[in-house]
Amino acid sequence: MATAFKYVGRSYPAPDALRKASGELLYGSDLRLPGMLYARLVLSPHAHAAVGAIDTKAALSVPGVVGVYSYHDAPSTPYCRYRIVPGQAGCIDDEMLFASTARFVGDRVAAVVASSLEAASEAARLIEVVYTQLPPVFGADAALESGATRVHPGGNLVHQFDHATGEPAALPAGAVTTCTAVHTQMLHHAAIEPHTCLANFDASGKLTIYSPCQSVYGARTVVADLLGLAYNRVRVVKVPTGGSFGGKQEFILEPVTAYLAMQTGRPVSLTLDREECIRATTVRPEQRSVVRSAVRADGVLLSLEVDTLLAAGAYAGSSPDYAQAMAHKLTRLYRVGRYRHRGRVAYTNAPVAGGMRGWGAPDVATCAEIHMDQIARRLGLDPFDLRLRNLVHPGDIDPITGRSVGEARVRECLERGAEAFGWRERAAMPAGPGRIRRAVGLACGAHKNGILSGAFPDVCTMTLKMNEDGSLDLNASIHEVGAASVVTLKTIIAEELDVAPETISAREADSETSPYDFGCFGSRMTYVCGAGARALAAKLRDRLIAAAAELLQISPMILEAVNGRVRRIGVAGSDLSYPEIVRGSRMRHARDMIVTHTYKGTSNPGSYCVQFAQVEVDVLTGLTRVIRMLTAVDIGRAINRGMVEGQCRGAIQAGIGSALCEEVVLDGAGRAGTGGFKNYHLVNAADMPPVTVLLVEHDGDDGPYGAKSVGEIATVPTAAAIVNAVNRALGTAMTTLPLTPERIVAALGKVAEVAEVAEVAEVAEVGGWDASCS
Amino acid sequence: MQLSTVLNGRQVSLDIAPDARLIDVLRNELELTGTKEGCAEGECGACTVVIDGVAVNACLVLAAQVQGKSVLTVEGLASAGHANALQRKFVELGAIQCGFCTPGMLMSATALLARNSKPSHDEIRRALAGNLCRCTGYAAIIEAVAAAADEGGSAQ
Amino acid sequence: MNRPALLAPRDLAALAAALHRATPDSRLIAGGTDLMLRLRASGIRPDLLIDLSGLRELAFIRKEGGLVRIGAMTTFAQIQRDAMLAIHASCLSRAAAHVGSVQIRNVATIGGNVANASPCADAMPALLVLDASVGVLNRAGNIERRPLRDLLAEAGTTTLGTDEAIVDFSFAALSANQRSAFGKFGARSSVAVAELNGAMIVKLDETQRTITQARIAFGSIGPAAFVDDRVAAVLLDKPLNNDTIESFAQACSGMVSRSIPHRSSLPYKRHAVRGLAHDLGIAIQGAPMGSGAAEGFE
Repeated sequence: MATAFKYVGRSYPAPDALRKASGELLYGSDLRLPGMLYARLVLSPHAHAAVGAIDTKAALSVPGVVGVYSYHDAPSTPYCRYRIVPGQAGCIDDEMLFASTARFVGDRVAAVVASSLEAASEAARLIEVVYTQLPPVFGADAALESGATRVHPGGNLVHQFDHATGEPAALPAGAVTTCTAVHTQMLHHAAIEPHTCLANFDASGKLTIYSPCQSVYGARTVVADLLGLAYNRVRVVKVPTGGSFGGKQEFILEPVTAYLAMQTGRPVSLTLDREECIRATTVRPEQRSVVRSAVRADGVLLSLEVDTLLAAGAYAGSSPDYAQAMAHKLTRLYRVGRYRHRGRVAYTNAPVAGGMRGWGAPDVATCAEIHMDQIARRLGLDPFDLRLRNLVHPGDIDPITGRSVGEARVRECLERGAEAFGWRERAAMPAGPGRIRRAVGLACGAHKNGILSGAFPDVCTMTLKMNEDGSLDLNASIHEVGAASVVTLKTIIAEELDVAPETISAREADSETSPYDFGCFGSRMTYVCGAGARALAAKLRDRLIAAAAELLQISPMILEAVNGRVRRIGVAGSDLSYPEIVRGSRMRHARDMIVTHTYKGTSNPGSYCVQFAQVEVDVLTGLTRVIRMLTAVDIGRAINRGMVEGQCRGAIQAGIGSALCEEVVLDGAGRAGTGGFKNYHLVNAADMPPVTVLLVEHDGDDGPYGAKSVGEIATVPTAAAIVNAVNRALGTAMTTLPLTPERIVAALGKVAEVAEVAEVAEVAEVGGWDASCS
Repeated sequence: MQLSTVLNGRQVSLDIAPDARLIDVLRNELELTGTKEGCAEGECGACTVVIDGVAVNACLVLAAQVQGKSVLTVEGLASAGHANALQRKFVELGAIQCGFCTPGMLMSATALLARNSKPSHDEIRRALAGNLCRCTGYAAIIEAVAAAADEGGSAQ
Repeated sequence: MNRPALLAPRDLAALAAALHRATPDSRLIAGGTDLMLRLRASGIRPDLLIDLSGLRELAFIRKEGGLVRIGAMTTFAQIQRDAMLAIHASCLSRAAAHVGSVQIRNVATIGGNVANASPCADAMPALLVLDASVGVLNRAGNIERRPLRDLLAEAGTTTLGTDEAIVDFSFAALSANQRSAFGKFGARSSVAVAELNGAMIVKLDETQRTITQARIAFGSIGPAAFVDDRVAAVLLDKPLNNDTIESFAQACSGMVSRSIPHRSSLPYKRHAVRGLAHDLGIAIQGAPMGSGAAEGFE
């Protein structure tokens, strides 16, 4: 490391860690307000149905029930759950507080409000809704067929795009073309805290919403626009979040809870159960991408074309942007002369797709990296060599966005990771002939740093105040979701001002009192908000130096800030402490030590991660165990080392699930989530493999001290690395995730069939990966 | 019906519904919201409490079933406001991120250490297999339990 | 709101009295790990809950001569840790170790597991190969013994009457030439519902080479766990070695095809049951004799 840091790079506990460990910290569902009521939703049991009469008589007779609400009485204004910015492009207003046409199993049909949760639940069960069932359509393919049932009146094609860069060129002799069709599944975010919201509408006409959301200003936009309230009459307070992973990015419960609070004039609390969370919030979209490439015989990529079909589910939400985000990843990862990405997004009668950790990056990396392994197998190249031949170099320009990939150290991740993992030796080991086959796989991934894109800016505003004792208050719209963003910002400010991090206090976002910020998503917290915090602290330091100069009546040019004091450069004992400056400056010069800074992001370099997995597959049961993983992350700089490692390991826990066992499955009637976590399996402590975390640190990007994002990128290559390892272990070509035991057994059956009939050495060619390419 | 139980070392008596779940009585009647509900089906372990020395999912137990028993929740771990060794190690070693699984993890670990003062890493992993975490990948949690055991467990 | 009445009998006489009041809408609650979920999922409110957790006299594990007796309210944690069972009914010990999580095993009881009659209940194949009999208490206060297999009905139900309760299980302890094993796999290595589970007992001749008796039961194949004699027959008069286990595995595939010919899970289970068969075969080769040393669990 070039620079020695005092605070940056050490390990700090998560914010409120002690209060989390004592059980004292109040999460959304722990909050109780005087007179508070409990809401319970009535969700459609049908995938597609017109909602008719609603008999509420029995429900209203349950003691404690205050009211039942449905589209019969609620406003029918359509809105978009994903909108952050007023008038935001790409937002489709297609959802209502309560559905008059239920478009998926889980669509909100009614809500009951009662004095106890038990009464609300009982009453919700007693509500009788007359449904007229309509034919449902499942699967994006089916939805786009002519004559398919229309999920919305305008048809099922929500969005389409065609991005291309470079010109198609004639292929040189010996070039190889390859095609792979990869299908990734709906996933549940599985934050351990279920979705929750508390709203209160007071006598002055002000609405206060307590939500563990990722954007208080976004929640305000959606709720205020929908309910016709001025932006300063809707106060959204961020409360502690028990995990999000993108699942609390969109505004699912805030509008309905706010509406119920307004109707009853009392605080209303709404918390979903696990089945409802899986079924009726958002899922990672199901998508299928066909990847076609041409490579020179030596493995150099000539062209890459991706054709994506993504299911939005019943409402558009973030799916148009999500699909488009997929088109912005691969040209940050590989040098390729010709890149084309076509995408189509379709409505289906399935759970609503939404943002999830990595936002398209894991999805498209899974497709591309399985494809890369197919190329490697055809050319007889080591997957490592194929990657190294094509990965971007620092300073490359991403041809799709026209921006620099920055100090992209993905090659270093690959090389150092392979070395530390022992890739060459492990890759050379045979899978074995026995019941347990063992192999390794690798994959690379690229993501971004912030939401600066095209004309869309990335910007954040923060205020920092120093008190008379030198303690500091940071006022910013921070959304702590479990990644210790609060601590990251404090650490940066501490480093910049040379004060202990404990002297800084920082609250989370409150739309009434904290300055504007978009929210916590888009891998922007550290890179953008962190850089903003650093600039803010530097501004305060300059003010302290200026104030000290004024007090000392000398030029600020000869002063420096060291260890919480301002002194003549290099002269010990010539100093004023920060408290002396704050007090003296206020009393003698009527100045206040408070600064506000609006930071504008000007770059959006790539974040990179390369992962290596070793797996053991049981060819009888089809069960796969990941026995070892290594993740090499181009993080630029770790601000809070312990948390960075935690983020890396948590990302792998989720990635293993997406590769092997997690899937939101629809039954024949379109029901998802039945049985909750009984049927949706997260990797538990017993099955979690050892993970080696290797951080590639360097200067050169605009993040604070060179730092880049980690939480999202760290999960991008995981699924592909594991799938590649399994395919190498078995000689299969599986491309449909997750690799369940059933799919593995079926694929083994195919391999055996082919081997028997044709005695083809390259059995993999018929095993699956080009199945949908013809 | 009347429930009498020893809760976090104190005798408690209160009127409960016969079919009330323990978790609801803890969170709603006794205002001990440290015990979290993540799934209501005994899968996530966020609601783990210790009953007569063993870890139990409070979402799957009737409150009536703890009649005359001793119940320990996360609120009962600290003494006189001082975090115990397990809690301190969770904080220090980064075992806590979003924190929602933390109370349940602590209670499972408490029951483990009461029975096995020097568990191996494998024993810790198996003891925590009924507690799901989505943030940390478990490694720091397992380290924290091992470190607390090295310091003499949760008793200190 | 209609609240159920709650009775918490402290002895068998009180339980019998409670059963007198039971209707088809009443429910017995033991550990509660299944019932609490069922009630919540269905929204059903029973008229009467009979809480068995206060029946201390039903939480026991005893060996009475050649007979092992286990009280219905014995938890899986207790079964898993019992040294006597590890020798005399190791398949049951191992089955107990594979039930759910620590938290579940601490409250879930063997009586509740059987009464709930889930097709994938882990105790079931073990109790079936042990040929357990079930002590059933009726409202008159009489205890009647029935073979476990007679208790199992189709589709996850039992033949128990509304006014009956399981009080204990008994079976013959494994003899000196017998070995038993339990096998299971699911989506995770622990805390998973069984994708397939099974148990076996074999008896070897004096030379410890040839299998003279075999009994095998399977779960998670069809609506209820069952004993399959055709599969067991493959092992008879064969040496306990890898070849025998391979033919046993083939026979298991055939058994799955016979058992669930029309289920969509057939192709997978027919294949995967071979893995279970091999697991059972490996475990049985290393299993203790009825009087041997305890093996490690999990």
